[in-house]
Amino acid sequence: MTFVIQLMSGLAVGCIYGLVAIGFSMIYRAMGLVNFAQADIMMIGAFLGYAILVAAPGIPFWLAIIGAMLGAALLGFVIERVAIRPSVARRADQVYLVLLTLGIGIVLSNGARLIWGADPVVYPTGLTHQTLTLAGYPLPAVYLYIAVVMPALLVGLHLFFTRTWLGLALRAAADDPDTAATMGVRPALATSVSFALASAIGAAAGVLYAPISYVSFDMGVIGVKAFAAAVVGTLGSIPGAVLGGFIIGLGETFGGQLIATEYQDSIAFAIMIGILLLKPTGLLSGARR
Amino acid sequence: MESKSPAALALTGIEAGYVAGVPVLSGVDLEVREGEVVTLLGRNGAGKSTAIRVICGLLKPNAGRVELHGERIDGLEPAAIVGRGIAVVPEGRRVFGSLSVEENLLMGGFAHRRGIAPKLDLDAIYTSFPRLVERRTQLAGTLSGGEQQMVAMGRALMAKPRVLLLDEPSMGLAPMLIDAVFDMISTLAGKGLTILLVEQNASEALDVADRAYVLERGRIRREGPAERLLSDPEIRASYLGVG
Repeated sequence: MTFVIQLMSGLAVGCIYGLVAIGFSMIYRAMGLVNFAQADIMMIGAFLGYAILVAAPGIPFWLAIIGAMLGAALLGFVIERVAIRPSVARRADQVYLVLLTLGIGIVLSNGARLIWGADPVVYPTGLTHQTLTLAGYPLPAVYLYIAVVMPALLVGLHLFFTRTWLGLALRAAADDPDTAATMGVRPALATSVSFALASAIGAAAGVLYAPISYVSFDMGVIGVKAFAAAVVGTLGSIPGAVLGGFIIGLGETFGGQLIATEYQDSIAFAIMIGILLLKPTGLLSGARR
Repeated sequence: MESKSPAALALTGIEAGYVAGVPVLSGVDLEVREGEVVTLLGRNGAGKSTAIRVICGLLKPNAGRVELHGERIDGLEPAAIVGRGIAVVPEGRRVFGSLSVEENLLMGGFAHRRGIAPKLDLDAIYTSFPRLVERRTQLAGTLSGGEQQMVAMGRALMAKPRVLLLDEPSMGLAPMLIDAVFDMISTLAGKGLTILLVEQNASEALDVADRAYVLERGRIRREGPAERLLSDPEIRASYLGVG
């Protein structure tokens, strides 16, 4: 009886993890960097959506999603230029770069606390409370948005990376920046654009997650689970990030139901450890990405 | 003589290196005239690939100048240099492994992306390298070395270069494929393309080249018409393994 609700909720949260995981994977591919600020960018995206809904009451939800994505893209571009680029240009060691991204995450999270306060906020939209009925089961209405936005973003990303010059250039620069440069690509610009894109996708995740969760400066903690999703599906692979998101999302939902919901986080990591023991490079390593 | 018109590509007094105080190239002068095939010979570590990196802008020289048809291009970004008409087939091929063959070729035409030219040029490349047609959707990283070399050459040609740089195109290939690569270079030369060919494989390179330079420890030691170097006893002893 609750199986369908569990399944839907697992899929929905899996989509959120998957979207944040795509951000991890894109930046990892573009610059070999694990950006632990990714989930805090998602959090900023959620707040940007909140700010839009407060500033323009009654604005359609999808406009809030797009607005938050644009804002986060700009933020990601600036973060890459101002905070990450100088260290990369000086060939900082990976350990320092990872610490740097953790630091950026903390700054973002405290910045959000400064602007929007320490108490969680609720989106001022009917979507927060609305339910829709699927085959007799009540489900949060925002699932509908997730079910539309997630595939739309995936198709959009696929077309972008395979059908546009910019997308092709980003992939080429990720493979071999020097060689791409001799073809006319500016690798530095390519990494900034990748960062902006990953941030926009993170923001979409944040706005979609807000109605089923809460919006707070510390909601970036789900980043570790999204990271687990990215690793399970092979870091650097976009389909892998989506697959990993579903595995972690469904696993923790059903696992939490079987054991106890307070163990959800442990279950997510148990799944990651189990999969990595069997396939240390992730499920989609070696596959076409 | 047309000596008044500037060379297609000219390096003058190039000093370059990766670490301060450790020059890899010292005072290199080199010239490729329009329509000429010039080969730059030298052993591993002589500085040949460094010269290529300097020409395509990946390494800024510490001194000297690089000119393309009389215009200075040293100091420009690599992306600007390809726009001026230089394309490179890099050492070790460096195909984009996670891109398909066709995507690799298209990337070669990236500098011309504002037009529809790259899509049309694909046909010409497939005519020159028919083998790539059946491989077009395959990931370039999964191809054999010879096929990857074809991709790298086709990719460079997609840029419609005025000067083509080839960095050790025969490296790591089976003898039959080496012949195919040099045949291709002859064909391109026959169409009037200006080529700078960096090679360790001196005998094959001297066969297709008009003129040659010999680089030793970052300095040009010899230069002259290819046939003269081919019969030079010292070159024969040190680079052709005969004598």
